[in-house]
Amino acid sequence: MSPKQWLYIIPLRLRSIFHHRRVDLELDEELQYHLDMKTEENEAKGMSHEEARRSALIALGGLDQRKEECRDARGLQWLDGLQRDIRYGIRTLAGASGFTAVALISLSLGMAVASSLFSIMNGVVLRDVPAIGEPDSLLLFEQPLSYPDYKRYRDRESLFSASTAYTHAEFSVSTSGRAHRIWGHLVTSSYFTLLHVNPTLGRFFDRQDEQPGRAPSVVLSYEFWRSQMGSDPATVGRTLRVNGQTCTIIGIGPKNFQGASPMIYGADLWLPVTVPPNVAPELMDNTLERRNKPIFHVLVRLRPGVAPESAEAELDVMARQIEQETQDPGRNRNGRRITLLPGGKLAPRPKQGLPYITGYCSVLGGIILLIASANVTNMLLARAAERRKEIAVRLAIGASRARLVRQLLTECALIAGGAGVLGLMVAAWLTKSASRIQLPYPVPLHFDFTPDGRVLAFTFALTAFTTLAFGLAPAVQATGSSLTNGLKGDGNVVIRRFRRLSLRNLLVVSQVAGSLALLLITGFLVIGHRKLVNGAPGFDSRDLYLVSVDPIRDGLSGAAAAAYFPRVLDRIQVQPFVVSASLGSHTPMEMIGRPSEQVLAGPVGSGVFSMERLFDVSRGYLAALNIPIVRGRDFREEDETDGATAVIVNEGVARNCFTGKDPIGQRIEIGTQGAGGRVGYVVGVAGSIRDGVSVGNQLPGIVYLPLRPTDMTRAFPQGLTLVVRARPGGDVLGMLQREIEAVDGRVMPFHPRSMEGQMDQILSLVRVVLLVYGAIGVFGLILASVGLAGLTSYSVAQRRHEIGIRMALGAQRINVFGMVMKEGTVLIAIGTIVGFAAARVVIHVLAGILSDIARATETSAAEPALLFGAPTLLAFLALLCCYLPALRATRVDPLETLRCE
Amino acid sequence: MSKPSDLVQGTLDLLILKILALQPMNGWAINQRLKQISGDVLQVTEGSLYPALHKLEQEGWITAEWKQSENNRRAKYYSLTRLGRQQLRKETANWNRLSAAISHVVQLEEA
Repeated sequence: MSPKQWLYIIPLRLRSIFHHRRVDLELDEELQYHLDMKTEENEAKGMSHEEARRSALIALGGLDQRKEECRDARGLQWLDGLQRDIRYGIRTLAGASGFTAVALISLSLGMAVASSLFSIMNGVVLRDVPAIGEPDSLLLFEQPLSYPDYKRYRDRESLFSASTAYTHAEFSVSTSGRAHRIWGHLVTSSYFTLLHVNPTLGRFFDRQDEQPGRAPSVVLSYEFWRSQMGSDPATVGRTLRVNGQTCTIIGIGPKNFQGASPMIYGADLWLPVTVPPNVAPELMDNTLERRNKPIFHVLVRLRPGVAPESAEAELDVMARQIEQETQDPGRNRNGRRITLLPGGKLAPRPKQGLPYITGYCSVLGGIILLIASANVTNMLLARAAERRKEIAVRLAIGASRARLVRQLLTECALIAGGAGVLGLMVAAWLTKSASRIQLPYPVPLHFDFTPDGRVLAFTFALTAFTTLAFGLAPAVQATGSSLTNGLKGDGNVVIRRFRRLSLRNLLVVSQVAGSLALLLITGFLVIGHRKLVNGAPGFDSRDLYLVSVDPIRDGLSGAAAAAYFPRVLDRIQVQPFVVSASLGSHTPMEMIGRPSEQVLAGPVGSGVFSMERLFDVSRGYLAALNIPIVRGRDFREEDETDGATAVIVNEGVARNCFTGKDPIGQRIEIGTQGAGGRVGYVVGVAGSIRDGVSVGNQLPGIVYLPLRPTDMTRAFPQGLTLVVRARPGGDVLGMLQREIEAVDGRVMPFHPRSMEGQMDQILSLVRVVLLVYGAIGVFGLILASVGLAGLTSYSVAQRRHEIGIRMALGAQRINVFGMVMKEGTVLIAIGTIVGFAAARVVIHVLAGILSDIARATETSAAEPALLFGAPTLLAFLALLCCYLPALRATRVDPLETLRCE
Repeated sequence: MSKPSDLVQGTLDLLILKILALQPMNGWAINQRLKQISGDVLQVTEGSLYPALHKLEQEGWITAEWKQSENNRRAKYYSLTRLGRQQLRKETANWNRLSAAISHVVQLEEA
């Protein structure tokens, strides 16, 4: 048939299907008309009315037969069949409410977990950066670059059609008299055009904005404009004070746009990278000219037809050339210099890594779904045994096997479809609550976990797959039964002992194995992550309060800032409830997005350096946090003068740099890569602390340097933080903010928080992970027990007759009991072994791929509570599920059994 | 009884299409026309007409419309579609080929 003909025919067919009632009525009327005309004709020939009508009917050959033929001609037969199947299916399922409930619950739980995992994965890993255009051709340099290096790469026009460099920074912004602390990007003018975004209002940067000496132009995010400017259309053209300097607002970004990397460094404000350093202290000391300031993220849009791999190779060669030309100290090291990541993704991950992450979610989801499907398959098999007689009767009176399989599959599809709908509803609810979780980001960010088209497609595919997977086997098995046995109704007496490879035994084994594997995997992960949460921090987090200030970004001069800090400290130290107060550039367990500074540290002259964290602190900082000084002393007032050389290291640094030596009095060189080092003497060794999510012997090495007056004149990336140890009971945070404002109204305190709150925030991500794994484990356990119970009852139900006969012939209750239990035990044992092996393999593979899993599981993989607890729990559960039906089976009255024969 | 065994397979379709090519008609009228033009030579069972009409409608060759009949009752009138006209041409050609071939064979036997 030609396509044109189909176009014409399809509406007709659809009408036949969806308006079949009307079509039927029309058919009635049409045939009635014929009948009436014929009757009239016959009457005209002189017949009586009755006779005329009878004769007309005969001529037509029976009204109903004709209607049936017409319907056949319209191809309606299959539809009727389907309708009947569905009606019948619903009736049967409603009749077997227990079975239906268990099957529905199992499957919808399975699907809910599977599609939640998928949509969370979808929300984080697979989703593109919101609001940008053509994300697929964007690539991100994995390592940040210096600006001179970026300019070299930028000119490689054979590879890129466009490129941009940006760096992230915190800004102090005043609107209508109130100051805000927000994140923004310093960008090249190509930033917005590269991302293919268009302004809601005004314009974005052009080359003009990059000219030095102009009043700086600023672009604001839609969200900032909405929440702080009340979506005022007259915003463009107004001025805004950014870090104390006046900037002109030239445009508003599109809705949902929070920069090129909203997951890591979201942005509410954009400034050209050429603004003077008083607007953005990050640009101090000619940052744009210096190769030792690799702070720029570089995004490029690949030319069509250029493979990312070849671009990467070419850039790598360039990077080596640049290193040679500039006599870079690291020019002779091995390894690749440039790695390109997919730049348009919310979570830029190496492409090679992606299948592992998605695979990881799929494995967990898959196991859950497998258990759920196995449950339903088992229940269906059990029902098939019960329905053997019904099916035999239907076969005997002439139903074709295909027709019966279709009927049984319809029932499965009903369950799977119902479960799909329920599952999606549960998943929507689950993911909705998940997306409401406060993430430990100081930047405004919201994840969109709500299921989208991909999730729907995924759930639909799952439904289709499970229908076939769990429906086909039992349907074929049920209709394949021997007719005579079925009709006799005693097909069950065939004594089967350990039909070793029967589908049913395989299912029991795989169910036990799958449940155990799931329980072990989630157990390892939960216990491992708990250790991350509950480890001792190495400092006292109670009654410790933190407030950050950044006078330089608030518009104070360097000298004013250096004078400001001692005044604030003096004032706070005399407040009621305050035990001690100090100042630091960082605090332990900082929020994600406020990373600590990395430095290279090593003994002077050795040339061996290790990467350590750097905290610039005032005296009394360690005491305020209750970090013990293991050897030596704390900083003193005389260390806080320009040119002083005191350094405190923690135990980790002492181990790394001065192995086997007394660190006190040693000369240590501290510097960033490529920059001249600063030399000092170690005066003290501090205890190790947790900083971020780490456990045991992996506590980070930290170098403490004294905050000197010159340091206070420069802007720290996140300002300086006041740490205040207090006595319990007072509103310390409120007092701190009041006092800070009282010292100088221009300086705005920000991020007021208690140390416990800060730790909660950083650990909340771990807690979410814990919750997810825990929930998966619990779901798995519920499903496994439901399935095991169903399966064993089935096996006993199948053997009721056999048991009855055995007992009638004189078998003792205990013998029968033993037989049932023995079979169960063997299957459970095999399942346990397989489950153990599977869990080991999965954990091993996962640990090899994801470092945080390796970190979490390395201490928990040998956890005895888990290694013995999980299998014992499952075996106990499984045996209980054998025990109860076995008990019931032995109570079968032999007489009743014999009557059935 | 249900199959027009007295008609060569497929010829009923051809007859219906041919009749409808002249003017739109309802089922009863087609029935009368069939009887009238074929006389006693072609016996078309009345009942087999309707399944054939519905099949042709599903194929898209004819289309139906409810109209007033000459005795002022609602009746379903069938008419030929563009596709139906093509089909009629095709089937007519087929028929001509087939009947020519058969009569040729028959004449051969006589000679």
